[in-house]
Amino acid sequence: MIEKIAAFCMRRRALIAGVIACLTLVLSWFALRIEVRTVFEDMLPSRHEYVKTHQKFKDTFGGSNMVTIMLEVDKGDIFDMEVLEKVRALTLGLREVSAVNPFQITSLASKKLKEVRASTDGIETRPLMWPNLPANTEEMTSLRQAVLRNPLVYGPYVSKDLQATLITVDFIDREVNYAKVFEEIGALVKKVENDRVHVRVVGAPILYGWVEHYLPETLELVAIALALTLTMLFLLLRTWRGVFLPLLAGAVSAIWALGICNLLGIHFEPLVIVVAMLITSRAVSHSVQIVNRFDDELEHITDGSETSRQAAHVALVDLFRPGMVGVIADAACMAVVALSPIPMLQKLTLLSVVWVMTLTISAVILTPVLLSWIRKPQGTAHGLDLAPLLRKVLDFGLWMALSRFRYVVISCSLLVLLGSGFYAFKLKVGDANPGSPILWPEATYNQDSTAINNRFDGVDRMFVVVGQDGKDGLVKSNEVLQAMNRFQRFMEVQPEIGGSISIADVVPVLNRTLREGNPRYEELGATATINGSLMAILESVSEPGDMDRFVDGPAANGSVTLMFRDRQGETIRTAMARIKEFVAHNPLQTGEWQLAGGLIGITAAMNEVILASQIEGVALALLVLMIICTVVYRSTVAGMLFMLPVIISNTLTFAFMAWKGIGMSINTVPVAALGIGLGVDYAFYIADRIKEEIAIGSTPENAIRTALHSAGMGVLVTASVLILSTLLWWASSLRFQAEMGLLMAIWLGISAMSALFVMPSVIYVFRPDFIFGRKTRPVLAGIQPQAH
Amino acid sequence: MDRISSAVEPQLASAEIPRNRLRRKIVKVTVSGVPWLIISGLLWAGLFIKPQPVGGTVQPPVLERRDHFYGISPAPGEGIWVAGSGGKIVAINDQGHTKPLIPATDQTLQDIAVWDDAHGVAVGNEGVVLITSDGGAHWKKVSDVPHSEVANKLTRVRVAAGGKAVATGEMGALLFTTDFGATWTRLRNEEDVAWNDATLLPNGSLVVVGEFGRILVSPDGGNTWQAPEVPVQSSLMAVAFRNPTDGVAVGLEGVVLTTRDGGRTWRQEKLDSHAHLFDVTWDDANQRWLGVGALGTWIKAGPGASDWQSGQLDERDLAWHTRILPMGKEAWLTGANVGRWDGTRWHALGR
Repeated sequence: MIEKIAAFCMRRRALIAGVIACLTLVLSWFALRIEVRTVFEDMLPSRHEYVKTHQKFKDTFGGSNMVTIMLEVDKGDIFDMEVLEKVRALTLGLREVSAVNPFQITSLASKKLKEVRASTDGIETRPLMWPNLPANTEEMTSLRQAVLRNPLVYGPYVSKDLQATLITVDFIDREVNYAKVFEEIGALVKKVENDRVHVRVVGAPILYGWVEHYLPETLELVAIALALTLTMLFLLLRTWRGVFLPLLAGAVSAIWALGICNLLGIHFEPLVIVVAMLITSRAVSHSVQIVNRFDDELEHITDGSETSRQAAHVALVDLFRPGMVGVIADAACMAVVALSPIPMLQKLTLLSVVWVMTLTISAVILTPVLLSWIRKPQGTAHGLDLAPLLRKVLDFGLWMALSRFRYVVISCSLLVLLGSGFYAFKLKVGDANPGSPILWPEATYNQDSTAINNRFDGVDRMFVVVGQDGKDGLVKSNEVLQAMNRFQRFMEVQPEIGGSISIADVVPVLNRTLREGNPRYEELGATATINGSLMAILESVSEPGDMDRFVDGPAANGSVTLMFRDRQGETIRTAMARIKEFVAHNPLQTGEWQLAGGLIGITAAMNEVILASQIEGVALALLVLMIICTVVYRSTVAGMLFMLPVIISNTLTFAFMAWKGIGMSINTVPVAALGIGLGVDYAFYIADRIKEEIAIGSTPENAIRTALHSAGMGVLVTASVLILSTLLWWASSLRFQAEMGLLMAIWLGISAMSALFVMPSVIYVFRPDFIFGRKTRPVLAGIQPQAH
Repeated sequence: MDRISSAVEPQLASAEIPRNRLRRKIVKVTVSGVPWLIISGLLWAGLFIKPQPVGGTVQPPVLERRDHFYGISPAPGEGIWVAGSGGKIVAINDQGHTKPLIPATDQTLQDIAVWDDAHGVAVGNEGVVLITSDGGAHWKKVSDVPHSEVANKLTRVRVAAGGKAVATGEMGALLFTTDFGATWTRLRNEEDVAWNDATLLPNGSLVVVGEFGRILVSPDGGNTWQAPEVPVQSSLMAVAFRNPTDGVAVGLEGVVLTTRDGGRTWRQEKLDSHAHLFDVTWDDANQRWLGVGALGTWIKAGPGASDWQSGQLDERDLAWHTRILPMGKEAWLTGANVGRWDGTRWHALGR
C-alpha cells in the first residue's frame, strides 16, 4: 500500500507538484483575506447556566465589556474645575465611541448619578453635575458635600480620599470591535491627560485592544523565530534543501489551513498565534525528518542519475507510516478539544485539525517529491560540521539504552513521572495571578488595573440576579430587599470582593435622607409597608433609566453587583461556592436567584467548563492516541509504549505550570491538548526505525544504534532548532505568549529527551513483540533491497 | 494476543514444570489484559470524571464592612462594648482586639450602657431591650416592654446609680426602669415626636431632647415636666451635663446649645461647622466637652462651653459617628466605623 503510494508519487511527481502549487496559489488568495480578531462571544460556553443569565441581563445590568476609566490627581482633590472639566469632556466624548451603549455611561458628569434631597417642599432628585459644571466655589462646595453624603457615589464613583473618580461605560456586545474601541478611547484619553491628571483605563475591550496593539510585535517575533529556525537548520543540516523544504512545508500548510478556514468562515484569533507556531513547527519537524532520511539514504546509494529519486522514494516509504501516524495522532488529540462547549475552542480545534491534516500533503508527500529533483545531492553548502557534536549526544543516548544504566533510566523516568504527576494536581484552573495573565505585571494595563483596585472597591464585576419573570414588582418586596441585603453582607466577607451594590443599598440612603440625615435610619425599613412606600417614593422621583443598574423595567428582576479586586481562579471559585451556599440556606418564597453575569460571572462559567473537562480532555486524548497506535501497529502494547513519553511530557508540563503559577484557562487549553499529540511524534520516528531495522535482520543493539543515529539525528536537530525559536517568545510583550512559548519549548524538550533517552531503554528492556516479533512478517522488509 | 516479548518465551516454554506453566499463563493474561484495562480506565475517566470546583472558606471578621455600631459603653473590667447592626455586641479591649458576645436578637441595637461589673442594658430597633446580669456573658431579651402600634425604635439608653435607666425613642418613647432593666414603665404618653436622648442628673432631675428642637425637663424624675424655650428648630440628637447645672445639647446642622441652670434656659453657641452633630459628652479627665457627627466631624470646648472648635478626624475618613466615649487621654468613637481619637490622630479599627 505504502509502496504503491510512494511509487505513484515518484512517477507522477510533476503532476503532484503542479497540483499542490495551483492549490496553494488559489488558497493563498483566501488565506490573505482571513479575518484576524478576537470575538468575545466566542469565548462563552453558551449552554452554561451563568452564561444564560449573563446573556439575558447583560443589556440591563452591565455586560462583560465594561470599560472603567479613572482620573486621578496626586495633589489636592478632584473637586477642581480642571479635573471636572476633563470628566465632562470624557463623558461626552465616550458617546461618540463606536458600539457604546449611550445609556450605560456613568460618571459624575452623567445624568445617572443623582442626589436625593428631602426639603420642606418635598423630595426631589437632581443630577450631581449634569448638564453643567459647578459655576463657582459655593456650587463646588455643595457638589463636594452632595458626593460625600451619597454612599452610592462616594466610594463607588469617587474614591474615599477624593483624589480619583471613575467613568464607566458599557458596550453593545454584538457590535464591539476591540481594536477600534481601544484606539478611540486611547485618543480621547490622550486629549485630557496631562502632568497633573492621570488617566487609567481598564476593561475587556482595552485588554484585547492591547493584544491587537501588540500584533505587529508578534508578527515580528514570528519572523525572527522563522529566521532563527532556518539559520539553525542551515547550520546543522548543511544543505539548502534542509532549509527550504521545511520552510516550504510550513508555508504550504499554513496557506492551506488559513485558506480553508477562511472558506469555512472561521476567523483567526491573535492570541492563538502560538498554536499556529506549534503546528508550523510540526511541519518543519516532519519535513526535516524526511530530508534527514534522504541524506542518510544517499550515503548508501552509489552515484548515478537516479540517486535522488531513489533516495526520495525510500525516504517517502520509510517515513510515511511514522509521519502519517504522527500527523493523525496530533489531529485526533487536538480534536478532543472540540468536545468543549466553548465556541472559540471549537473553532480553534477545527483550524488546528485542518492545519495539522495539511501536513500529510505539505510535509509527508511534498517534501520527498521535491527531493527527488535534487541534482547534486552529495556535498554540503558550508564547511562547518556540527554533526560529530550531535553524534556525541546520540551516543550518550545509545550508551544509556544499551548499558546497565538503562535500568536507572527507566526507574528515574518512573520516579519523575510519579513525582511530577503528583505535583501536577496542584495545577489550578483560572488565572493564578491578580491582573490579567495575558499581559506582564508591569504592563500599562495591569498597572492601571492595580491603581484602580487600590483606590476603589474593584474593577471586575459580577452580577447576580434575584427575581422571576412575570412577577412584576417582586424586587420591591420586603423579602427580596432583605435577602439582597443579607446576601451582600455575606459576600463582602470575602476579602477579594471590594464591595457590592444593589437596590437594597439605595433604599437605606433614601430612608436616612427622609429622616433628616439621621444615620440611625440608614437601613432597610422594618416592614414591607415601609419598604413599599420607600420604593414608591424612589420611583416617583426617578426618571426612566435611572434604576436600570439595579432593577429591570417591570421590577421583576433585580441585580446585586459584586466588585472584585482580582479575578484569580481561586477568588472566583470561592465566591461562586459562597453564593451557592447562601442561596441554599436562604430560599426565597417567591422568585429565585440566578447566577451569574458580568465579566466575573462568565469567567466563572469558563473556568467551571474547563475544570469539568480537564480530565476528560487528557483521558480521551490519551485514549485516542492509544487506539491509533494499537490499530497502526496491530498491538495494544504499542499503545502503552507510546503513551509513556506523552504522559511524562504531560505531567512535567502541568507540574511546571503549577510551579510557575500558570493557570489552566481558555488560552492554555489548546496548547496543552496539542502537546499530547506533539509528545509522541519523536517517539514514533525512533521506534519505527528500530522496528524497520529489526525487520531487515539487525540485532537489537544495531537496530537501536542505527535508529538513534538516523531518526535520532532528525529528532535532535528539529528539537534543538524549535526549542531555541520557541524560547524567543519569552521576549514577547504579551505574557501569555511568552509563557506559552516557554511551555512549548519545555514540552518539545521533554518529548525529545524521552524519545532519545527513555524510549530506547524501554524498548531494549521490554522488547515488545510489535517491534521484535518474529511471527509478524516484517512489513517493509523487502522494499529496499538496494540499500544494504 | 500480545506479549511483551516472545524472546523470553522459549525459556519459559522449555521448563515443563506445571508451576512455571501457570506463571506463564498469568503473565500472558496480565500482559494482554493491562492495555485493555488502561483503555477502559481512560474511557471511564474521560466520560465520567467531571471535577467540581471547590471554593476556599472565609471566616467573617468580627467587624464587618457593612456593620454600623451605633452604641458604645465602657465594658466591665477593661475596654469597651459596642452594639449595632443585626444585634451585634462586640467587646474591644485596650489593645484593640475584638471579641463578639453571644447575640440575643437580630434587631439592630442602637445603644448600650452598663451599671456595674455585672449589669448592662442594650436597646434597639422594634423596641428591643436586652439585659445582662453576668457581665455580658449572657444577654436576655426583656418582654413586656411598653410598645407602640406605630413605631418602636429605641435610640439611646442612659443609666444611673441604683439600677435606674431611661431609654428614649420614636413615638415619644421615654421608658424608665429601677431594677436593672427587668421591668420598664412609660414616663410620658405616646406622641408623634422622637426623643433622641435623655440625661438623669444626680439630683433626680431629667433632661430630654428630641425632634424639632424640643427639650423637656423634669425636676422630679418624670412626674412633672417643663418645656423650656429653645432657640432652634432643628432636631437635637444628644444632651450631656458636667454637673447638675452645666449642660450641652447638640443637634443637626451644627447646632450647639448650652445651659447653666440645669436645663431651664438654653443658649445657642457659635460653631463654624454645619455638619450634623450626633453626640456630645463631658470628658472629666481632660476637662473638656467633646462631640461627634457626620462627615468625620469633631467638636470640642473647655469647661465653660463657649469656645467651640470643630474639625475633621482625618482627611481620608469622612464616616459618621453616633457616639463618643472618653477613656483616659483618648476617646473611642463609634458609628459607620469604630476607632480611637487622641485629639489629633484618628485610628480606625479593622478596616
